[in-house]
Amino acid sequence: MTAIDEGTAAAVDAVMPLIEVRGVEKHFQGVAALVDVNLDVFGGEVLGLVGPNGAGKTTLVNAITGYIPPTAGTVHLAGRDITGLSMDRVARLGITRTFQHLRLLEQSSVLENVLLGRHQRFTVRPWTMGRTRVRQEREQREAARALLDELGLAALADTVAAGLPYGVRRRIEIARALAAEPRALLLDEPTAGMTPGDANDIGELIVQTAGTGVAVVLIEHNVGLVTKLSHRIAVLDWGRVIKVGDPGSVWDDERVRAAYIGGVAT
Amino acid sequence: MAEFLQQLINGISLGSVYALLALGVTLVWGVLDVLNFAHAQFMTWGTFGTVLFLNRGYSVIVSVLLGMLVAAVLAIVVEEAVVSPLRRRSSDLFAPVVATIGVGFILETALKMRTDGELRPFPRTGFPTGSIAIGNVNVPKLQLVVLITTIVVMVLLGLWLGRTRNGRELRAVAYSREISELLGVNARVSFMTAFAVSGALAALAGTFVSVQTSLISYSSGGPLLLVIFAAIVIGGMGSVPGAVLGGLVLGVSQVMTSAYVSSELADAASFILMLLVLLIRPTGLIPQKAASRA
Repeated sequence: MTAIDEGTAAAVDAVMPLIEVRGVEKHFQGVAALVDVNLDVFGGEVLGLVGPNGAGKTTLVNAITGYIPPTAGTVHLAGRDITGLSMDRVARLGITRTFQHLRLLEQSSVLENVLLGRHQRFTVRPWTMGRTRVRQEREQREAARALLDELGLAALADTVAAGLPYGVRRRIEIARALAAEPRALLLDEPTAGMTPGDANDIGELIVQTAGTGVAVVLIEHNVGLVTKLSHRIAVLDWGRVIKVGDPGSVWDDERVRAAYIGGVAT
Repeated sequence: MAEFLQQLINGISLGSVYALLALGVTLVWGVLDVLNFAHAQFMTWGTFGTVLFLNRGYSVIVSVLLGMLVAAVLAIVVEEAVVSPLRRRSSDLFAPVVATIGVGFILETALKMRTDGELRPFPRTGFPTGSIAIGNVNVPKLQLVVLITTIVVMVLLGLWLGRTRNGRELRAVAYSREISELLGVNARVSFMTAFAVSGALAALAGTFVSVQTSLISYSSGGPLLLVIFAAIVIGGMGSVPGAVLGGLVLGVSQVMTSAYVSSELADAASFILMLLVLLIRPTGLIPQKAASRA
């Protein structure tokens, strides 16, 4: 697995956060799922988002990406207030995500799945026919194939997604998200259920992605992996951020240890 | 042989109109999972729109386009005011379907009141008359125009769905609203687009039906609704090529039954055919693939 090296860390834009979460709260019928969450995510970094089950990790990602509106607080993307915007608008502004459970176009080819991620690059209008349309179609296909090649999926481009192994399908989902050329990528347990080898591959991909300047938020239960991949780790417990710090020190925090008693962070 | 060819052309002509109607229904079904019972009223309202502009002296082409616009706007209003709010509030797919039945009744009643329930003549001035001899077969020019226009519209629809960003978005939403929104597709616009196109196609088909019968009434669309549903079941629910094939198969079978068996059995033939297809191939002749539905 590729470890975080100095060069990659130096790419992190430490001046201006790409995503700023301020005082975000989310209540579900009186139950607080997020309480006064404040968090910055910088371009080029991998931010590990960890915490016990039910800590609010997915809810926070949902609130950032517009999947659910926060009850209170604000979310900014590169200084622009995106609080409460719909998921498609947030996606168009540059934040893409994956879900815990795979969501692929099962009966479509790997290439078609990735092309879907590039649909915003199709600027032709219904009345645009002829050479412009053909050229753009070819360009997008070439870009999608280049991405598949980069991710080691080129040989599967024309294979239907449904029958492929789980690890490969995860890569396709991430490839589709990357095809959109996002500024921020939020991954919800991308290695869940994977073999260690597949998890390592995904880890390399995550580090490569951050290396291109994309802000990556990684929800991950595999403590070893998240520690290895992340520049910083934010720990959530009962909907609150209880610690944000570098991967080397965050697990030494008393509150983090208390949150994980009986868990894996020992 | 000449008579058979004549009947075949009649059948294809009728079938192409069914196909236009079925395309609209299958588009909405594919994108929103809603079987739209108000579709017949989009057709009738759009046709009355065409008549309104024809009577005001507009050209045939302009009047037909404006009639399509009337139906498209009506369809968007129904989608935004009734279907989408119900879909947002409940995951129950039955509610919006029943709501479209209600909307259909309201629209039909409104037209009935406005037209005093009368059968009205469809102004045919400006539409082609006479016929062209192709070998031993005489094809009415009007029928030929209907057929050619329908083919052109279908090709354009296919190009739009398959090769434009808008069409891709519609197909993506048809597969999964969530995935498409995740990738920046505005599903709400896709819903409106599906309804608008569906309405416009219904108006065009309605005009073609009325110009051939020279009549129009508030209830013109009603009897066609079940035939359209049969067409999309035969073709494969949600499948665009299936809708076209289903429409053509029904048109030809109805005309042939009428010509060679009994005209009274023409409608029954549609449903016998539908039952046969369901028994032999429950997913229809060209079942949709999940990712290419709509």
